[in-house]
Amino acid sequence: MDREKTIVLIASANSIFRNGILKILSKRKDFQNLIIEQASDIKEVLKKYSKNKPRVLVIDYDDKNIKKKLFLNSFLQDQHNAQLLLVSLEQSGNVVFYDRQVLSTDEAHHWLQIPWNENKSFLNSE
Amino acid sequence: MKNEKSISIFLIDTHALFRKGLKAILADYPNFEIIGDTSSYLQAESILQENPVDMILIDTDFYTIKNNEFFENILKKNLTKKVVALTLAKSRLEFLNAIKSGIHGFILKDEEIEFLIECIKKIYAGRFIVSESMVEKLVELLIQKSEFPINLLISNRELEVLNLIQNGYSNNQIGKHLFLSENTIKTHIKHIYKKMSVSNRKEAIEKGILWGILK
Repeated sequence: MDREKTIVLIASANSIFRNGILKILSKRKDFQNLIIEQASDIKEVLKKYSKNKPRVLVIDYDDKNIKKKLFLNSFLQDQHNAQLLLVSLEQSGNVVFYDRQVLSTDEAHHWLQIPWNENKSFLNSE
Repeated sequence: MKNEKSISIFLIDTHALFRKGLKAILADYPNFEIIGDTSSYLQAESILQENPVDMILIDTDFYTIKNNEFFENILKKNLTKKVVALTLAKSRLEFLNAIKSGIHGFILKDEEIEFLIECIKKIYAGRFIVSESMVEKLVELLIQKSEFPINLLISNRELEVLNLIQNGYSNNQIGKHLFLSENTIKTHIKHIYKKMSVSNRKEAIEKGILWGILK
């Protein structure tokens, strides 16, 4: 059975961080279904983001080479399902996680009517 | 074929994603044995008492490291043979504090992994290694140290004030601590800056440590 591969983009100028995330992902059971892309500067990030439409993004957002605002502008303008993990290597506190799901207007209408705390399961059902 | 003795390593870093990633990378190298990892010094000390290691890779707040006896403790108690700072900290004060604390290497986190691997091996073999971009800072510090003015006359009171600055006290807190007005403290600080040829607290602490009048 040929499953669709999930593209993951890891963006950071920090090679140890990028390769560390890659190692962590390599221990996943579904690793063979992942295509891991890496980017070390904003030019590479934007190119790989627009070309490959990664489903999962891990971004070192305090990295000067990544230019958070430029990336977020591009991310906001784009419309495809994407999970974004915003990590700062300079801060060891929380990371920010966005799970963007694109809905049809019919689905959006349904989403507006169901209880909010059930939305998650609604969105996750395929 | 495995000729080299494996190097046992422990990781301390509050950034879990970086730490776990690095642990996974190092664990794949045949000559490294990763004993454990944690974000807490206390937990590290307790684990290391059971399992002493060859090397600790540590990231910490190098601004305040003088207040932390962790390095001294673990080295004195033989919980590790080597301590290596693996950090994003690039300021001269952080660098100086780390060096003064007795570390055996200062490696920046933005180095390539192959460089870090080589550094671990060389430090274990007895070398002291500093990331290349920190070498210039090391030279600057050495030059400053050689400029230490022998006739410098910092009064006992000024030294007291400087010590409290190092401990993070505000002017108001120093005044209360020494039973002096805030204005008097400001005057002391002005004199300290003039005598030390510095323009702010950070520089004063840095020079104080460098000249050996601060710990």
